[in-house]
Amino acid sequence: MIKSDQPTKKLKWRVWINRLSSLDISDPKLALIMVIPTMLIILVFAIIPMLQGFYASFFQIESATLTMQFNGLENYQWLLKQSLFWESLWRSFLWVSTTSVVQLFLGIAVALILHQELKARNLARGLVLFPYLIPAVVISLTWRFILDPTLGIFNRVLMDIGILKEPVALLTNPKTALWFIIIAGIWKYTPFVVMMTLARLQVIPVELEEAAKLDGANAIQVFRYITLPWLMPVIIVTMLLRTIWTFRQYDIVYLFAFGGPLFATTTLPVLVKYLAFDAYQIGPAAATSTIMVIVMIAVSSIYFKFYNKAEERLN
Amino acid sequence: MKKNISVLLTLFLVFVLAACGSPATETAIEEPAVATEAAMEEPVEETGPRSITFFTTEADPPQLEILGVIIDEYNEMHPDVFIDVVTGTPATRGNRITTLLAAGADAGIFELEAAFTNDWAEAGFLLPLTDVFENIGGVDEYVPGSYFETDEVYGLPYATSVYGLWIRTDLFEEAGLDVPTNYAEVLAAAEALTNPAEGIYGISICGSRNCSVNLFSTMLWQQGGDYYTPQGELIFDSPEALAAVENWVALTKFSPPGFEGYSWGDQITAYVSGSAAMTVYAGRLGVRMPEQAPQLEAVSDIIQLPWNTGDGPYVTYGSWSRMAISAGTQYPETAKDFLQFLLSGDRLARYDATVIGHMVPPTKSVAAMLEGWDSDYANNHSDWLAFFNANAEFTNHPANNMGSVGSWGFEKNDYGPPWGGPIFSSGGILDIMFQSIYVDGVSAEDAHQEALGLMKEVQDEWLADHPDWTAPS
Repeated sequence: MIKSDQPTKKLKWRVWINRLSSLDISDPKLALIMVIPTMLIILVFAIIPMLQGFYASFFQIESATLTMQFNGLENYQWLLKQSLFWESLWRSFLWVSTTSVVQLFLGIAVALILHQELKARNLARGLVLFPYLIPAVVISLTWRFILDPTLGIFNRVLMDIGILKEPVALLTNPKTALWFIIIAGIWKYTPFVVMMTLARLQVIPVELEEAAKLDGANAIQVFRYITLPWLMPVIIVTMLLRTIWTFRQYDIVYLFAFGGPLFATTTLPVLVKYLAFDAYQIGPAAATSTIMVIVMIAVSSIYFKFYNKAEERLN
Repeated sequence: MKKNISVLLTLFLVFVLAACGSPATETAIEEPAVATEAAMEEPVEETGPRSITFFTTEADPPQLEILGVIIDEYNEMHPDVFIDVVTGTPATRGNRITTLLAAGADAGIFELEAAFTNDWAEAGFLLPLTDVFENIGGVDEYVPGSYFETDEVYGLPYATSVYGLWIRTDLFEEAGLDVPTNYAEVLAAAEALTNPAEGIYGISICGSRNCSVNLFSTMLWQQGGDYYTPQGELIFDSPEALAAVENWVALTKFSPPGFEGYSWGDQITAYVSGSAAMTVYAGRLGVRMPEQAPQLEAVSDIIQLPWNTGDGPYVTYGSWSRMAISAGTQYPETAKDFLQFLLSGDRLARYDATVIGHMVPPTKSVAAMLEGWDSDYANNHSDWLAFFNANAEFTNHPANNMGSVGSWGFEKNDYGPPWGGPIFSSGGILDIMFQSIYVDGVSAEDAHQEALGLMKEVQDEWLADHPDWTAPS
């Protein structure tokens, strides 16, 4: 029986392989087969943990033993009463909106410059990408060291040239700490916008710009009526990605000032870490994560509406 | 095709929903009970190939190298036993181990999470190690307070760090100051030695990430205060506690600018860079000095924290690092045998000597071995090593302490208030109390009052959710 079973199995495999080979590239079956591995990875590493978090948000969980007691919406009610939650939400909004908008304008400007015929253009393009390649932990530690009031170069230079009389602690001042994180975020992630925009600029048909110039359009009009509409779908997708990534960004924000001073740099992801791992309040931490997901779904749907409009206009 | 896709999607959703409904509650409650019963049965002879997981956060290359050598030595005697070393970080240790223990998995040998130790023991997650404790030498051999014991010994220590006051003897001599012996003297010295024009500050104290709370607690205890009684009654509202807060804040006036953002590492960076005349730290500073500031070695010394203002007991900061074995482990006798091998004799000495002075051993014989260890550090600073060994029994940790200090003096216990997470954590109520004083300029009295109100609120809420709770006896 075993011997006769072997050829049958081999035959079945061959039949499957032949069927797959015969599928057309536009066949939905092939599309489904190709998507399944990715779907499984997303399922295991994103959807299941997310649903587990959603599930946990309805329980009171003892950290030391993980015993769970259903408490309905209590975690959400408790969270919404906490000023720390609303302040963290506001800081997240400030962090995301400021870094994303500045990255957008700066990124497009740099991409337009790098799109010109410049000397050493390739070298310049490589150097522009540099901040994006440095790990967030290195950036955070370097900036912390630069801004250190006692040992850092920032204070030393400003004192040497007479701008400061005594060192200032910028990362321990609640009014300035978040802004320095925002500056570092802009510096690190603008290259991503540059990269995306530059790639799109290279596929805009040259004849469109040439025709516009022949018709008497100046540089601003060419940008306004030719370049920008072509860039718009990519800009929207880039902004969508930057918004999602910035909103859930933990490393650079936390490592700069560890959420302090006085929670002044605590954004929602840092709040989740604080609740779950410092205050041992796993249920409220899970509720915060769930709210983050809801916010992101809402924001993403707005971006997709704009994206569809931009595509329609281009067509 | 559409039908196939529908079937696939249905299966997908069923799978997701099934995963979502993880029976964590039942697992967490039932599994340990079974495991405990198993652990109480007569030992079964364990033979054949066996694998023991060894989870550690002591993951510096020299530590892992020595651990590997010790494991090799054990394997020579027990070739069938495979010790599987798994490394992690202290930040994730608690959650990783809790997840394994609560799921009833074989967590093998692992480091205990101080804040969870009592709960893990009560939940039956831990294998009793009293026999190993006795085999190593029992109460006569171990430093008091180093092991974790309730009805049985559940946690065996391998090291602690002992905090003291590091002082620049050259700066004290230049200023004509004696080595401080009490709070008034240390405050006066900090003021006298602060010279911003020269970039030197009296004392480097960390002000963020809970570092401030942990170090402040030593002042609170030495000045006769504490946070709770052994029964869980809040006593942080005492006049001694407020005075300790005020005294601590007064001392930080002579810290380098930006100390509000200092964490542990920043605090000693200030000292080794020559910016501070004093700092509060454990043995790691002594390890870093020869590497980063050898010129300071000859002009630095460590003394007991001189915070006393009256007759308070001597208590310092430090937390014993302990190992335990999962109650549900597959090979309990083998795990215990390896643990005994690792935590005794010259194996423990070699392990602790990887960060000599910072990893202070828990047993008297190993402590004596390290004082005569053959290394530059031990040869040059045997006095520092003797200091750490002599003071190991006075270590205490605020989050793992409920009423250790009182009118009777200091008697270390190993349980903290179970509602303590939001109070003692980084960014917790006490951390914010200090931050609001340092950063927002709130008066110590107002910040203390605010903190007291929040501490009561947290405790009341927790007790309302756990009406059956009684303090461990």
